[in-house]
Amino acid sequence: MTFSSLLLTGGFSVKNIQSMDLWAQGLFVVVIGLIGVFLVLFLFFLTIIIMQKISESVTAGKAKKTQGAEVQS
Amino acid sequence: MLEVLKEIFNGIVFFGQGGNWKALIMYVIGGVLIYLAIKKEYEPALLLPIGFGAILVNLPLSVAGVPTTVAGLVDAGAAPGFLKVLFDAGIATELFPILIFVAIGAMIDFTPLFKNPYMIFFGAAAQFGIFVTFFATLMILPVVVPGMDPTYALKLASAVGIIGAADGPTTLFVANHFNLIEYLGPISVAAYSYMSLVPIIQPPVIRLLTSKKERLIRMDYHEEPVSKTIQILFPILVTVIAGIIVPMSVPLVGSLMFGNLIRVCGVLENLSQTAQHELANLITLLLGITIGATMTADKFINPVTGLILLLGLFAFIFDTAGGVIFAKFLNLFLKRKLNPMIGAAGISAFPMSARVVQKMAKKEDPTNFILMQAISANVAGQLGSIVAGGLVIALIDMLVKVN
Repeated sequence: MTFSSLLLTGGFSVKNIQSMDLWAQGLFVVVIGLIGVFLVLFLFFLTIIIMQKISESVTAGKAKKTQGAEVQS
Repeated sequence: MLEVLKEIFNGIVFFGQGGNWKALIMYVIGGVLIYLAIKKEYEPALLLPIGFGAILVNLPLSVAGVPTTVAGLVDAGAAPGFLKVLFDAGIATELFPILIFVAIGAMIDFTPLFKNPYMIFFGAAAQFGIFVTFFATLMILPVVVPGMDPTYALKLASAVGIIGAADGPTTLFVANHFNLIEYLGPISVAAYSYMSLVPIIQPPVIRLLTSKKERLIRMDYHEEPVSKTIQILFPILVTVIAGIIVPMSVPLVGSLMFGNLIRVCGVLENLSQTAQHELANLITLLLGITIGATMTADKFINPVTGLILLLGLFAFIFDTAGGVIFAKFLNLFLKRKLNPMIGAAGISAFPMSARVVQKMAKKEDPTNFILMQAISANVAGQLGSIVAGGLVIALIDMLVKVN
């Protein structure tokens, strides 16, 4: 199976990929590898952003509470 | 009488055997590595033990490694030498690279990355060289070694590509995972020596791809405190995410993040200091000499070694280019432009690469300070390289799996 026919038919089974030419297998590793690295690091990026948002809202909540307590007193 | 003398001075007899002249070349190579370590201070903690290990293991009868007969054949009756014992205990089991990662994790401060989270993408872009080199190696290997088993070619190409991770332990981990023992020496030497040559390799590539105007770009940096909770949660969450998406990266990510958790938790200062100093030093020492011991003349002196060294350099160059080009690509869409040089810091050579970038920025404009952004990209490179290592292992394992 060639790389282009694999893409066209969408026959992404392990057996099909294994039966491709060596260069096509190499290309497969390059494409999926690069996408994979970006994807995983994107998830790390999201993790940082979500953690920061939560941390900011917790800090803001605490500040609001303290402010409220000061006003009451 | 002659027979007795031959038996006693069998080391001299060893050099009388055909082919053993290669051992002399290995002494020279070992000597060069030791010279580079001492005189040029290129990664001395690794190149010196590697160089000495290379000499040790090529001494007649290889008593320190896998003992041989005078004829150079493996002496099945002899007990393995201490270097072979170290290899079996620390490299074959992947223990040394993993322990080094615990130490590295304890040394890394991720806070610059928390302040510039988008810099994490440079850690991905600068892995470009790994995959380009993998592909190039895969195409070249069948030409250099006709008849090489395609499965072996895939494994070797992946280990050569990973040299571009600029991360010695990851390179070792991948090479060892694929059981490429005979090429462990040249792969490790390439990885560690090019890491030490980052200040020489990167600047010409950066200059070639950027204009003076681009190198003068200034970048804002906001010094904001990062909460302790974020610092503690990050290593845990990263390990879980990597473990779910790329399970093969868990030994690398897990050990790195374990080391980092020890650092940031605030209650294990002694362990953190031990990991950063004693553990790092001890494992580096053992790792170096054990890698050196894989450099036996019969395995090291062949055309593939030359190819590995050449392609390793190729990987470093393309990693640097990948990071810089990615930054230039982002600049097409950004209002506040990035200094594209920071892309080059996306490789894993920490903190050397970030320093190189800052030095270049300072050379163009002494008041330009982009070190913190470069450090952010550099720590992202640490993450990127181990994720790339895990992905390469997973993909190659899938391709070579026998159904």
